[in-house]
Amino acid sequence: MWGHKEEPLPTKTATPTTGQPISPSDTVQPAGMSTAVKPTAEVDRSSQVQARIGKTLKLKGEMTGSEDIYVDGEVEGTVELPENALVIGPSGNVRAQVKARSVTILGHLEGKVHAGERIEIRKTGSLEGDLVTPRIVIEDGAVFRGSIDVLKPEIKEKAPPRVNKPPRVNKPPRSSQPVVAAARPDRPTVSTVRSTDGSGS
Amino acid sequence: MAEFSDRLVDNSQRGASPGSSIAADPFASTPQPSSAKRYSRGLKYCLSSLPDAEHHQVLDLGGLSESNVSFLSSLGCRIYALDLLSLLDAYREKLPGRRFGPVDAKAFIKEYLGYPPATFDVILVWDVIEFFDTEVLKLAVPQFDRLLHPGGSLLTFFHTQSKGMSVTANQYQIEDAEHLRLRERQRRPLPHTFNNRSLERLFGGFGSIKFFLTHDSIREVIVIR
Repeated sequence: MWGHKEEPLPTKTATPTTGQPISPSDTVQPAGMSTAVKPTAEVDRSSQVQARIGKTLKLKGEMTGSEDIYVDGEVEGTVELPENALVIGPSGNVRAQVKARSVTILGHLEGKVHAGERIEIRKTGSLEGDLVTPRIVIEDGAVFRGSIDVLKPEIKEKAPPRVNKPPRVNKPPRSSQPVVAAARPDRPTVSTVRSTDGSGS
Repeated sequence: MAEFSDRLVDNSQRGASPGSSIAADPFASTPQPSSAKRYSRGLKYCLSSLPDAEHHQVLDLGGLSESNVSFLSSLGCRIYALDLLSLLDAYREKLPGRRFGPVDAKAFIKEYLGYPPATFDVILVWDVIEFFDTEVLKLAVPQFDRLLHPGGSLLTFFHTQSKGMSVTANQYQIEDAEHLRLRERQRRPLPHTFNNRSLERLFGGFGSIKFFLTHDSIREVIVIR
């Protein structure tokens, strides 16, 4: 179903007969060729492979996965691609609850949409529903009806507390004194390049 | 990720036939709409009336604009948007005789403004309201009243020209708390004439009303519930 192609993709070196989706790793290699070393051109081509739902396809149900999907047909149900992109083509018509990393709409989408990265409504696109996203891009002519919650970008790692004290500069050790900084490693320190004459300041 | 999306989009657009878009936005065909920046005392007043707390709910009836989403979301607002004028035009096209009767107007209001009562802190009507058919106008104003929180405000613009004159319908894009960028959508005749007295009558059910007459013959109106 996912492997439906309206035109043979030039990215494949062979087309499976099972109708199963094709991943870049499915590329058939000539005998004797190492899997570790692929020709550069082949790697580039296979990176363009994506799941596609063609114009004549209708899908009802739950769609989950970890690859980007292009929908030019009809989809109804739920779509979960938390780490991937959903693109709805000009002929695409999606009525679903969508969760994806990014959603680009050239056709029609109706339903709740949660995008981790961004939602983009192109000028031919129309969207009806409630959106939650940190970023939204809207082209002139895009049609929208619904609500938008713009999420503030999450801070993934908590920044270390700032120390207001001025940074301490390691002075070059004098031959007669021990190195104090080394004895107190809990203090923030900034290393400096020592001068060659050993004066340090 | 973005590259993938762009590539798909570019490819699909290359193969897309003209007119294959789903939503026929009557304004999308405008070649290159002109735009102008203007100061808006009404907007400034309207935004200053927002309470300090976040999570305000704002209804924008002028269609979705990236700058409005960007600005309002920076204030912590949740934005509800719809292009009510386009929806009105599309709805009218389907009516027999292309005229709104009382039943049609009620159905239209229910379909597109049927939010729960007291949902919004601010309703940005822009100039949409002055192009409403009479039957729709009669029902829309009380509905706006119902949709606003007590103390909530509604911002709307009226041309000062008389009924029948052709004026520019704009899309209003918020640049900052005091400035709007007006993008011309189309010229259309005014179905009504409004002056201060008729506006006071129109919004008589609200708590208060303020007018700001601007140099470009637009009356900015703030109505507080």
